[in-house]
Amino acid sequence: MAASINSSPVQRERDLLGQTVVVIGGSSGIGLETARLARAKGAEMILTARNPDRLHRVGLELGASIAAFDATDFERLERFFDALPTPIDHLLVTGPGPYYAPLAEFDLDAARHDIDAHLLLPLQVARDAASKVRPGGTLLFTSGVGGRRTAAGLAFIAALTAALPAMTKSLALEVAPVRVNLIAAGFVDTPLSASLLGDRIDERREQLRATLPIGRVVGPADIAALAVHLMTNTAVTGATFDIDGGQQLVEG
Amino acid sequence: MSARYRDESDAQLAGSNRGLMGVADVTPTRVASSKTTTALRAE
Repeated sequence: MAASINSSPVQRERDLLGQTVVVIGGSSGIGLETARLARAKGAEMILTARNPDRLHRVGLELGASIAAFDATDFERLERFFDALPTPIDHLLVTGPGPYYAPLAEFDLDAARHDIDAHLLLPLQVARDAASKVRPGGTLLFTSGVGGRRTAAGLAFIAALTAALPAMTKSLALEVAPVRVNLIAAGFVDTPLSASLLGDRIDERREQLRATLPIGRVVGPADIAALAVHLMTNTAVTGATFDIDGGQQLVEG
Repeated sequence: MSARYRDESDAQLAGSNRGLMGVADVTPTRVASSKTTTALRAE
């Protein structure tokens, strides 16, 4: 069942049975949870990630098709889309996270990689994939809300964060009737986040539980639920959706 | 790199700096059983 541009409200609530969903970065965190939810709703899954072992395990779990490569290698990305066996219905890009540092410590190579991953990757995906997506399907990009704050050390991430909603809106016009939407997340509690925050993770979780209006920490399943909603609600395009449990309201 | 890490997406960035590239294949291949590991052949 291909996504339709003329779905009724009832049809918009249908699951993803018969549809094909591609997740770039589908072996962990937000990408993995979205893949699990989309699969549970009947979608055929095609997953990519850099880590072939982890991707293979997820492929086995979900009965998915997999391709292991770095999506910021744009020549490989183009060949991946060329090799897709069938049209797809939806595509989620979960790029790497934002880089930010004080000017005195600013690493130009890291910043360039971030531009590739956050700005050029969505553009490349739109260019390579739009013709592969059935009308009414969606390209879903991910971003964060942290870069909306004004603070020393955030100049680069602030610029990238501001760019993505504008890019999303323009792409939504350019690739229509394929839809384009952006998910902007705050802190999301994943094993990877925990491994990086180390012994500070419990403190951060507790801080968020105590301060967020929702009284709990946002998890990858929360983001997945929004992503799948945006896949199935064919009225939504060119939009940016914040999902941070109210983090911006209390952290500025 | 002295970036501070604060959320999930930051964590993914750090992961990207850890040299995870290596064995790769851009052709989507269905994983039906553990015997399909060869689909992850090196290019």
